Amino acid sequence: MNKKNILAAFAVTFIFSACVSDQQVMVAQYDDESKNCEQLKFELAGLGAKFEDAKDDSGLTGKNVALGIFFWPGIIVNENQSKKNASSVNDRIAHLNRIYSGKCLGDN
Amino acid sequence: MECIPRIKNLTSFLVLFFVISCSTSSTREIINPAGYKKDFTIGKIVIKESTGNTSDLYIDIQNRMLSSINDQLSKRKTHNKYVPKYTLHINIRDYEEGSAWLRWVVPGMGETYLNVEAILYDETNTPVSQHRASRSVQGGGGYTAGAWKRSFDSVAIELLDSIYEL
Repeated sequence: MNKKNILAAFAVTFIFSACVSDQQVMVAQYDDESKNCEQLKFELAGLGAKFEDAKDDSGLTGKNVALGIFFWPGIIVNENQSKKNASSVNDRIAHLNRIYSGKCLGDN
Repeated sequence: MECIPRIKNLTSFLVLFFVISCSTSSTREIINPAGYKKDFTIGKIVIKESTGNTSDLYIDIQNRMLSSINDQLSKRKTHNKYVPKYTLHINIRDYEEGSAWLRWVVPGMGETYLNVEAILYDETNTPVSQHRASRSVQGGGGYTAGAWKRSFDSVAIELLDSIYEL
């Protein structure tokens, strides 16, 4: 194998590993309505962190900078995917907040 | 002759872009392993739409999803009157019709995207498993025309593969 092939294989492997993966969450899950206030609070806290993680995949990230050098259209794909990831987490937060408001805020 | 390496480079670039830009994905969570038997059929399908943008669409996405699922079920020949009949609730979360022309002109624009969530219930209405499946077409030219229609078939295949543990 010559140097060119090794470099090409390296570049392709790099490009695939630099892609933002599909980490969307299910917005409405089967047991949401049966969760108690503590469980809802706990999950909402976890989702807040997950939303930050999803947002961190967007913009001037190491992955995007590297893709910009090797394969610029990958940036568009990455940005779209991270937007979808963040949006799904956001929708789940809104869904759980609605349940939390109806269930837990009325008691106080 | 000099243009041959250039054509090769351009082809590699385009192939790479299309591989990255078209994807189908799914996730699955088994809720009740005891209810997740090998032999069951989907006897009832309930489809809900919560995209919030159906007024802009020319097609009835609920019906389109239903017909894709029914087509795939009939291809799999899962209908058997001696096995339990489960109910599949599908919620269409996101749908973007997209445009092949826009995808061709500006990479990253005109994306066709379908994202569904599903919960499988057994005969006693106990949830058995929950699934998510999506299909995205972000790049390509004229050959991606009609992706809006094919995305329903792709998602139906992905969803049923996920349900029947293929």
